[in-house]
Amino acid sequence: MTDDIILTNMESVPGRTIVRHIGLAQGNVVRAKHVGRDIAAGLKNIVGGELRGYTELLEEARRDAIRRMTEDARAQGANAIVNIRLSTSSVTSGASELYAYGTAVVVE
Amino acid sequence: MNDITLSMLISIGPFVALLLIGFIFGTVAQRNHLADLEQREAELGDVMLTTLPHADGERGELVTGSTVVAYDFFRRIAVTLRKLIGGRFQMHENMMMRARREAVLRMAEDAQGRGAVAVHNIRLISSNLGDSGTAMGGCEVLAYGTAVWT
Repeated sequence: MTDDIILTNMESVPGRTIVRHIGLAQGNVVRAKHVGRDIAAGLKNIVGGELRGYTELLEEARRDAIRRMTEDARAQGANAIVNIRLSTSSVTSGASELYAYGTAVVVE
Repeated sequence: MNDITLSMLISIGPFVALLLIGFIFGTVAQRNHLADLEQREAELGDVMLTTLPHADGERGELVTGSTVVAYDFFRRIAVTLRKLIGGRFQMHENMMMRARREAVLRMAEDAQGRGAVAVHNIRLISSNLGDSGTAMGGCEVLAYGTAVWT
């Protein structure tokens, strides 16, 4: 996802040693559903199965949230984020918030 | 009398048709998905998947896999009726477990494709999209973990 900042949801970075903990790094994105995708999903709601349009939409949004978290960490001088957690919540009907947070650290 | 029957047919017809379409397509889709999951899980081979928070390795990286699933029309109605009685929602259990398998599989396939040997500290979360309760907008399942290279 990013080239220079190491992302992991473990408490440590495999193969590296943490030299300094900086603090919370976070990023969020709120995405609304899309009319075209809604129509396709509406049809899909009759036959069931995966709503691929929504899967892609949420994946894009999540990537953005992770990117924002990464930028936050970089701005704080970190080169890795550990113990990352991802969460999704529906803000209102038709819109979802993707939230990524973790601990910005410096590894050697 | 005949007119009443006809108008009843016209008003109920589309609903019954949707029920039938939903039931048939939904059942076929479910069966195909299960077969697809079995096959891909067999092909996945030896990527180790764990929920352990610590692991040794040379390098680690975040990997994710997700899917949004929805009921077909028939099952949505069936679940709505089931709510009146309460108890176990077996239909819902099955759908969520299929979605989880899919999400985990996508995550594992991503890790394997990049040459990782294992995914540790796997977390699974799910959230309801759109109208609460009806699962109309679908339900998202996300799996994430740290892919580890040795």
